Amino acid sequence: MTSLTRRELLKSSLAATTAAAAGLPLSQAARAQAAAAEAGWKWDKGVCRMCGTGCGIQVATAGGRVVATKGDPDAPVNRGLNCIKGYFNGKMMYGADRLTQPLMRMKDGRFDKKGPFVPVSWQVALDEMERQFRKAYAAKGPHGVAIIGSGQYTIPEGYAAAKLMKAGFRSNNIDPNARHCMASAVVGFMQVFGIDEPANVYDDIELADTFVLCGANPAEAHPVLWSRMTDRKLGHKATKIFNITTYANLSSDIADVDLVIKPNGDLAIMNYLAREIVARGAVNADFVARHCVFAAGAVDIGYGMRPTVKFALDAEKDTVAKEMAVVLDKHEAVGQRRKAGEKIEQKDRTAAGRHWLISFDEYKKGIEPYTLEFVAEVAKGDADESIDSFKAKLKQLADAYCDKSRNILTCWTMGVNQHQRGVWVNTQIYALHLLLGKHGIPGNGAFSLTGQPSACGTAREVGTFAHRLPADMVVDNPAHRARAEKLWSLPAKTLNPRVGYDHVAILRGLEDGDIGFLWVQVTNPFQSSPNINHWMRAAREMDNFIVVADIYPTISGKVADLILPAAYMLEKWGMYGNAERRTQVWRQQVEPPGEARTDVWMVLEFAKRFRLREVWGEKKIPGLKAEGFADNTLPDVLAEAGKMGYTPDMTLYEALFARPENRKYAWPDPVAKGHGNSTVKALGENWFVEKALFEEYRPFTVGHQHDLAPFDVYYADAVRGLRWPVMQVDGRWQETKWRFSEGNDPYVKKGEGFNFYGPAFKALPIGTVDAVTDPKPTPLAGKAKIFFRPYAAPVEQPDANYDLWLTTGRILEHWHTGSMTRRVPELHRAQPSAVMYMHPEDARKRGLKRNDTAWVESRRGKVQVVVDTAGRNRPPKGTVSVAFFDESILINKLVLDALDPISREPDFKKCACKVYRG
Amino acid sequence: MNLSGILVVAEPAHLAAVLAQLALLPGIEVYQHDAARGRIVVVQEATDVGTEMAGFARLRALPHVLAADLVCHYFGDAPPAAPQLESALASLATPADSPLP
Repeated sequence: MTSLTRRELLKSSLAATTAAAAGLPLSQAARAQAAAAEAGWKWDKGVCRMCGTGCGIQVATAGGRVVATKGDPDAPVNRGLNCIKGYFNGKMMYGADRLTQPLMRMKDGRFDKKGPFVPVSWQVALDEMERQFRKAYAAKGPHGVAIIGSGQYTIPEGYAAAKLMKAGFRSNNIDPNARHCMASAVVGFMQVFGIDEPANVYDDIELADTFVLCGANPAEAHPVLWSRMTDRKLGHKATKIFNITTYANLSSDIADVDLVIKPNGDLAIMNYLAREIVARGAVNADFVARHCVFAAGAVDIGYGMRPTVKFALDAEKDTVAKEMAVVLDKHEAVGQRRKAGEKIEQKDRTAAGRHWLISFDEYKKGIEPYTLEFVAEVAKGDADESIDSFKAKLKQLADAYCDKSRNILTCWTMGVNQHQRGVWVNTQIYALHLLLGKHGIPGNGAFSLTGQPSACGTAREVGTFAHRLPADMVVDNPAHRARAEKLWSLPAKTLNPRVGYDHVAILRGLEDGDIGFLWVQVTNPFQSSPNINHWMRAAREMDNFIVVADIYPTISGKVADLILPAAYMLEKWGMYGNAERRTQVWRQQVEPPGEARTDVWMVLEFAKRFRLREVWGEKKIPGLKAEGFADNTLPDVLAEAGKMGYTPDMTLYEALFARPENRKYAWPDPVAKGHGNSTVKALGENWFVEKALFEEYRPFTVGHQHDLAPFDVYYADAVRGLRWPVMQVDGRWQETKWRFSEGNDPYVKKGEGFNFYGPAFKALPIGTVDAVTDPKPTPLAGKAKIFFRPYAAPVEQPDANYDLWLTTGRILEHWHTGSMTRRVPELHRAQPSAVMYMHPEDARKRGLKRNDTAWVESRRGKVQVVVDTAGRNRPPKGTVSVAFFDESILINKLVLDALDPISREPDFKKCACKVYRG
Repeated sequence: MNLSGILVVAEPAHLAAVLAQLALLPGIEVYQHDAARGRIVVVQEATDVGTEMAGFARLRALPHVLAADLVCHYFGDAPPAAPQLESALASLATPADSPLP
């Protein structure tokens, strides 16, 4: 062995690790070589941060650096495998332009919005940040300041930021980028089950016979889950995969049936499938009678655009004007049982989530128009496919759902969520599985997949949304506020009952002057949001102050006034929650470079600068109207606070974070096993901040169907994350696989079979499919709702001028806005810049061919792209697709900022554009 | 030195053809395979991560290859360049909506 070079030794070691992951036998010599190659390395468990799958990784450090990573062979999610994004986890912090010092726009030694970036000390940075915050807070009140947070927040980060805003500054203006990806899924869960997050787990992949992908492309976006699905197909011959998509993609390659649909055609298809389930007698009548009710909701809900054209460019005005009223097209008329050409006022645009109970007969009346003929006409998306071929596919899909002998899993992501009627499609998918009685049981269920590593664990569970508090509670529910005030030891009425500004509303607020201070954490909203020309201009030209904390200079950094250098995930302690409710943790592996600091430290350090007398006095909140509150006013709670032992001069750091009960969690802690803590080090304190914050958060979850285990349990060597609710049984911490079903979920009692126990929206008026007839709330505890939702057309569609559909998405080699994955300079070779995928015939008609440069232009902006007519994505005629990772091709300049009016999630998937030679 | 251990999954019926293709690829060494399950253990060596990724994409695109999953990745020998403040400032110096360099 001594004759082997170090290179050979390392290679043998990697081969041995790979063989072990594949379940291939290993020789004694190979084991010995692996051990020799890794001498001096320290391995520790971690989590991949590059998507929402939640793959376990192992990280090796030596000499203060990360030297290697591998898929964690003991992680049940990925069983030792990683996708190509696994290359990034260990390498991403070592880019040449890593931010290591605060940078502020300056002129003549002072902050100047028009000045260039100049390196400054943390002291100078935080002083200016404090001054600017005070200015906006004094002039505009708690809702004049905002944080845009992230589904990439660690749990302690999101918790600290949300608590500072909601309990400290009494502002609900904190909203994560998860609004851009999961909000429609969340509302779907809340409306159908009364509680957020999936009932199913990844274990179902090996138990399913049929996979229906809808608006999802796991081959690119969730490669490890895709590997598990393709493995299932190889090993289980009966497996069938359906792919419902607006263009053929990498997932189509292995799918048995590819259904290329028109935008919003999914709404019609779900109703066709429901109609078939009913017509063919496939309804599980006993399950539906015992555990479900039928429901319908408001239809004329607008498109989440502004109610005015005041801020619109001239070219945008015709689309924006449709917010208040639309003329029904022939398909909407049939699907909604109305007249084509009728002009419909969008009267429910501010009460879009309104819904009520209906009878099964009313439900059947709703789905009746959705015949095979009608739906094929509405939904067929490929002009080159015959109507008969498309109809045959629809029938096959209906056969798959109605086949009682097959287990069926429906999985979806952004095609369904980033949708002007995204909540509707989410609820329709659940309706299919509930009608069949095939939800939340092994191998069967409707499974919403997630895009970011902690969209579930932090953004949703911790509640970093403008309307949420931890553990599914909401700010506009007095009982929820009271519970949060009790757990946070706050005086009554400290928390603000008015829902804050959502992500797009914060950006619009910069433009219309409502928001004067914005702090961006762990995200890149000036690249990732729709219609960004508006927000970039607002950031640079309006009187506001924008702080961006990041590890690299991003587009958002460029438009900011102050940039704070942040720590990368392996430079801090953290925990994420994935798409199957699995909470996973890691220790800090290395120190952050230069003066980079953790986001938790930034929040705590900022909190030190404000005293209770400044924030807990009377505050004006325009639009606040709530029982027990004077209109537009948050009361002074300082007197009450005094009785609780607070003094007006106490800082928010002392009152909210460094509380005596939190200081009990001492640092160093044996759980650290010698690893450092850069938050504690920079604070100069001796309490374990991340552990204390987690343990403070945990009581929100316990007994409330979200139960999390104590901090140390997750750090135990053998644990690879635990899926909540986690209960202590006979001294052991036991996770939950399937929710809502007896024998699986500890919250379901013996004899109940199923219990859809979520408490939200569980008393409703009764009505017909079209309207409420009896407003008296009828209770429906324990039941799930089977919704009818009609077809509605996209608000902006191709016309003579903008004659193509534009859709955007993610590709395998890059992630989110690419601020990390593009950072390793060589990566440009793998996918140098975003290309526009286009049908060769559409290209030819415009005098274009593969690799030509073209302009793509919408009402909102234009960019130059390289045309690809034979790439991984193969759009039908009339559609083009561009990925959004590339900061040199800001495709979101073109994207319409229409939202799902219920979830307030933008629709990145459909607007009209034109393409011409560049 | 960038080294990665990659698990290639080939259609078992075409394993020999895939092994033959792999033998022709520069930077690739096949260590072990399981004919029945189409599993092939490959180690790839490249000068940098970009080349590693391009190589990975190349494996995935080979005929009869169903999947290529990354298992482990070593990059520890060459110390990374220290972050340069000038690089960060240069990235930020261009107008807001123009590409980063």
